[in-house]
Amino acid sequence: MQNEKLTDMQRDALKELGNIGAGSAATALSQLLGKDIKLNVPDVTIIPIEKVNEKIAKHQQIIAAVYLRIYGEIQARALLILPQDKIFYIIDLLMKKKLGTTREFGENEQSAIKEIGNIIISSYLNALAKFIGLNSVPSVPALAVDMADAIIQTISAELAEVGPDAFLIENEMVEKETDLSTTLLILPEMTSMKKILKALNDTIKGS
Amino acid sequence: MSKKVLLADDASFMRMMLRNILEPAGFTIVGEASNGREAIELYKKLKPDVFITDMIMPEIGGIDVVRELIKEFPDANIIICSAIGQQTLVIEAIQAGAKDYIVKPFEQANVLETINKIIEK
Repeated sequence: MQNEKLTDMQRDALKELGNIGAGSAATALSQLLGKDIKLNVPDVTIIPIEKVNEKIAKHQQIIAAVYLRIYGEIQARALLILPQDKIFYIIDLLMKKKLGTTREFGENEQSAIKEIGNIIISSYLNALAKFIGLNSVPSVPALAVDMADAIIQTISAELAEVGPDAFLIENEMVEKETDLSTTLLILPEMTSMKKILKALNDTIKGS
Repeated sequence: MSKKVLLADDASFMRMMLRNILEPAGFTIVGEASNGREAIELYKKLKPDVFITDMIMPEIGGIDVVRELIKEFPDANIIICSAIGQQTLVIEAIQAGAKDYIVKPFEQANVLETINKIIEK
């Protein structure tokens, strides 16, 4: 299954799904930070699993990756990637510190990042349940903070267990002038990818 | 006398956020648990007036914690606090015995309103 096999309708529905998820993720982040978050239309695509490494490797710096499993009507893995400097900025806002204060990841900071990842990914799962009726829950999140290459090594064994394609959701979120964009990868098992696309079709037909 | 609250969440950050809302409002945080098993043990030991628990936690998840506690404490004031806002799960939590459900991220007013409503009942 490759991106070009998606029909225009499916692509539109997928984009809408991404919009709904991104909208609730931005609302959630805005509530958490107590700041207005401007959201641009997210880019939602299906990419072959071999391209996942490229998408992570494009970050030429230390990144924070929140990783979790998804259970329920959809079986998948999810990986949320945030560059380190953005994370420090978010933590300063979250903990009401002077901007530029956070320079390392202590226990509280790690807990905060995991929770932000959990809330953002759950926003998408909630959207998925509302839009196409598939209910799923995330596992307890794990966090890795490292260079992109090291993160790829860490998750490579996991990538071998999922289906041949992944959802790539690139969110453009901006707080004032600061870009807080995130990259979210949802890696469904093969049967779950089929289930999602079938549910998308059913939603299109029913609308 | 201030009401006793027990918090359970694997994220210490979320427990801190809840504590920062509840303590200034006059509640006493009598304990904090970072997993479901610890939450059950602490509940039995501390018998809080209100118990706020996350849904997804290590060892035992929030809904199973509710089920376990309700067997022994049918009137327990339990609130689930989770990022998962899916209707089926909210219903499952309420059917298990939770008195209410707060979706993360939460607003201070919403947390206090929910907890006060339950206590007044």
